[in-house]
Amino acid sequence: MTLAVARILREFLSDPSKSRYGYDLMQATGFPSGKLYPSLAKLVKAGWLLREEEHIDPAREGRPARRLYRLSNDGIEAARYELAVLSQQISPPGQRLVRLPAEGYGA
Amino acid sequence: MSASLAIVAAFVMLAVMMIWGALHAMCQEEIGTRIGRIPNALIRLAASRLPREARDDLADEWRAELDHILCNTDGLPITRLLRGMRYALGLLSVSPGTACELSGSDECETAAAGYRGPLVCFAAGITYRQLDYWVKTGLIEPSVRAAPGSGMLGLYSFRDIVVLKVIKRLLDTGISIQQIRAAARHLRNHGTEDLAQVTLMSDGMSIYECTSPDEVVDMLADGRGVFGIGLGRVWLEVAGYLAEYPPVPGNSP
Repeated sequence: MTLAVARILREFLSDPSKSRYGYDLMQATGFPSGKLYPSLAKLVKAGWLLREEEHIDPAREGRPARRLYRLSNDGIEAARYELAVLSQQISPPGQRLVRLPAEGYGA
Repeated sequence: MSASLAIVAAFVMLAVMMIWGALHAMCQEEIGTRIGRIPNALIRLAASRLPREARDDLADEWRAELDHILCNTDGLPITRLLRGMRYALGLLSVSPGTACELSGSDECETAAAGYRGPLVCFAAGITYRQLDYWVKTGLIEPSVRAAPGSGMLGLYSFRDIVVLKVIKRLLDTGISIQQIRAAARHLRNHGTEDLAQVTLMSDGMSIYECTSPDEVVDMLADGRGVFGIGLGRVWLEVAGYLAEYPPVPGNSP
């Protein structure tokens, strides 16, 4: 897992049930579009993220329907676990170990 | 004295605000119509580098986000335009390998490289003019990289060449162009590997796809006069032609 992917997952985990737009994620993570979308595509392909079309009538709203991303159930568990592992791996030496959450894959 | 100064100041303020409001509205109009086209064109360009299956869907997503950035985010029109430009340029700056990843496609390695027009014509046994005409009429589309208005400048995948060769054979046997069009569309939806398993059969009126020897025998047993093209054979021929020519990366000029 790249750090970019981890950063995006972290954003999703701050409220796992919430759907996010691509542009909102760019603002939240500070990533440019060219960095965000490849990571999102990877996560969608892995089944961690679900990609859905917004439920609006483009003709009535006068704008095209946007795409929304949210964590799948598997994605929530996998992301929690992977982030915990990663933070353990990259925490400065001498700090106490981070405990993996109980609902993680490895538990 | 100070009272009249205050009144003048208030008037000046009012005038500035009115002019500002008018400018603001004009800018908004401008962005809604003309300037907004620049980032939109950049998005079209970025999308044109993607594998065909994913192109339209992703382009739709990006356009919707761009629309949101241009119309619904905070800030003055020019700020929003710059934001939109940054968004579109970001998508365009993705390297060709990653551009394929944007789509989550499995065929990224093969899709990222392709063959140029002259080699395609040679391998498929068609003329430059035929290739150009077929691309312009939408019979075939270069799936690695499209070149607007020209069949010769596009980059074609291995599968495209197999399909072209089949089209040529079908044409030579006098099958109607409508039938061929349908067959070409059908073949494009096959994966490169399972294309080799297909046998196309025709009774001169319609084209049938057979994937097992039994189906071929059934057609013959019907007593119809048929001819068939085994795509496995065509596949091998194309592979033979192309063996000495490495595919050109999709990012090369």
